Amino acid sequence: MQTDTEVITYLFDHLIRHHGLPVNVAADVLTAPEWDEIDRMDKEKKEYFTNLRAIYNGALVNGPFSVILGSNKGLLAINDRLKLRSLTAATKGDRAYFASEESAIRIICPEPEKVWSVSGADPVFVPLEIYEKEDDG
Amino acid sequence: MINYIPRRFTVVRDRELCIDCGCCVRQCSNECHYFSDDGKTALVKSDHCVACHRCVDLCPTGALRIEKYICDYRDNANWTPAYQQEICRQAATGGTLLSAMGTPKPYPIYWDKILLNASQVTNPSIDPLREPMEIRTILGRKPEKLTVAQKGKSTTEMPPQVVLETPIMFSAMSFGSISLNAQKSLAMAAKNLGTLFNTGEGGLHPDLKEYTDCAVVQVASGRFGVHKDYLKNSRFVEIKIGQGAKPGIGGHLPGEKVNVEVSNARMIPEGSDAISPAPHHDIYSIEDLRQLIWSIKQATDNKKPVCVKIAAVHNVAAIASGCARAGADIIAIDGFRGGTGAAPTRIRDNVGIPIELALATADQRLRDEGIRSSVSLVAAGSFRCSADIVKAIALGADACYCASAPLIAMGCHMCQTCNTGKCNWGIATQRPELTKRLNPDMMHERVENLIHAWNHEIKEIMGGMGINSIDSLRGNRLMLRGLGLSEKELEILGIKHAGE
Repeated sequence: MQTDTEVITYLFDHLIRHHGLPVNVAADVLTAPEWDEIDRMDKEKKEYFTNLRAIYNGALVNGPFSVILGSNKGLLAINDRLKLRSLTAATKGDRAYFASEESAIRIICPEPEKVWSVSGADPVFVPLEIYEKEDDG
Repeated sequence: MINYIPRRFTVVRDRELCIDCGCCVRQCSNECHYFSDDGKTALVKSDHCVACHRCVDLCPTGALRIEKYICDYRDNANWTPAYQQEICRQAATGGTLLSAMGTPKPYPIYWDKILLNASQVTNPSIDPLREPMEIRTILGRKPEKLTVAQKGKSTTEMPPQVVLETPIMFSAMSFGSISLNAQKSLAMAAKNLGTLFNTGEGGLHPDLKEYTDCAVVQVASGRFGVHKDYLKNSRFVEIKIGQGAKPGIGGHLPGEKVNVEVSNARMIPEGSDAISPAPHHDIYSIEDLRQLIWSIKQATDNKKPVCVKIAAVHNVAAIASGCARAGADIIAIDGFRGGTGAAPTRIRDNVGIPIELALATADQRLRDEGIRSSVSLVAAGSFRCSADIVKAIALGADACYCASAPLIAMGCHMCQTCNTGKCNWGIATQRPELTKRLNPDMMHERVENLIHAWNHEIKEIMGGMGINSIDSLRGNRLMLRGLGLSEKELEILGIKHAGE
């Protein structure tokens, strides 16, 4: 593997296809929240993130990145844990938009309903299914 | 009686500074200082000086210093004075030579030939003052994969894990080899730092009961004090198969250091040498080790990880693989530079291999066999500074065991005579007049200071590399480059040469 893109793609492929993890869980592996945040979580979430970080410690990605991953499951937007790169998300109706900057989104969609800056350790996954599961990040 | 060997050191007293207060006379257990007959003048008799610096450091006027006693032999690159003198000692006693602390021989130190990366431009470094740097470390067997009901809800059954707030733990030093006060200082420091200390073969002294959650207890070949409660009063259990300073032989506590308390803790007669057998007499194959591991897991209700400590020897990679497959959750590899309270000199100086090479090969072998996640690797065998620890983690260690370093923080000056039991700093002795000099309430702070300082340095180095979690440093050999290493050494370490 020669590039960061290949590495990240490989990681997702490995976690989703070989380990059978849902896309949003694989996203958590790459952008896991920090321990002091995990320490403050409720019991179930704390256990989830602790196990995830313990098992997949080698797959934590460092360095600035802003990645959008498309698959037949949906569209995923992830940002590095320190939020060194910009990544903006927006929704209007049943459409979602991702771009580095809000201005790019507004060229395509001048009046989005919701616009937000994607958080460092908070992946945004928009499933492609007609029946949308509540993604409560 | 001819003494065939000149003394090692001379104590030099500056008469202009000395005020004859007698502090040195009271402090030296090797009787190097004494008063003249009229009790007014402090005098020196350097015969048994070991250069522990106790008198030097405590002298209120700085009047003392220690010099190597230069008594020239004819130059001989082969028959060095050391070899000649060792023969004289053996001619006098007929015994094996005994030494303490890690081998001082000038073998190559690979930590000093490995350089670290830093980030610039393409991948920015991280400011540790702005961003949290994570060095929390979790030891224990990890499952192959995470199973979830959905995001946020894990259904994975995790084997027992140990969470450390630093990748540094205190290595095994038994009560007997060191004093209770020294062990207590380590226990208190471990508790405050969120890490663990290791009781070594001597068992956990009842006075340290409140520190059981920070204690690693050892099941060594002598099986001193091993019963169900002993195992329960621990954070994890370590089966000591070997020790870096003396691979292939068992522990050795000289009789001088076996007082009433040590005798009770280990259940041996006072004053007798406590020599652990070389093998565990019930482990003669890897299957036997597996049986012992499972027995210990059963005895502890499968609630604690079991660690196997092995010495770094020639086939350490294969041995590590075997231990992992035998059910060990943690494997501690002890390199040949490791310290000891007492070991036969020839074994300490000639047996074993460096931890840098052992760690690299063991980590690589476990990865090649696809079982690296089934164990945590702990490296031991001389870490002198935080940079050594960073390099070890980059070579694949999950955590590092340190022992000599915290002892130096408590006053040890590496005089290498722990086996005599006359440690003036109150560390490697059981004599009450000496052990009372070490106050755990003060010493634990010094040890904590040391580890805090190293933690900060590790975070700075990580920040410089552009990573903010130690998870991303672990096994990341691309962060290392060799300098002046041969092709073979680079290959074994699995790193490139600087410039590549």
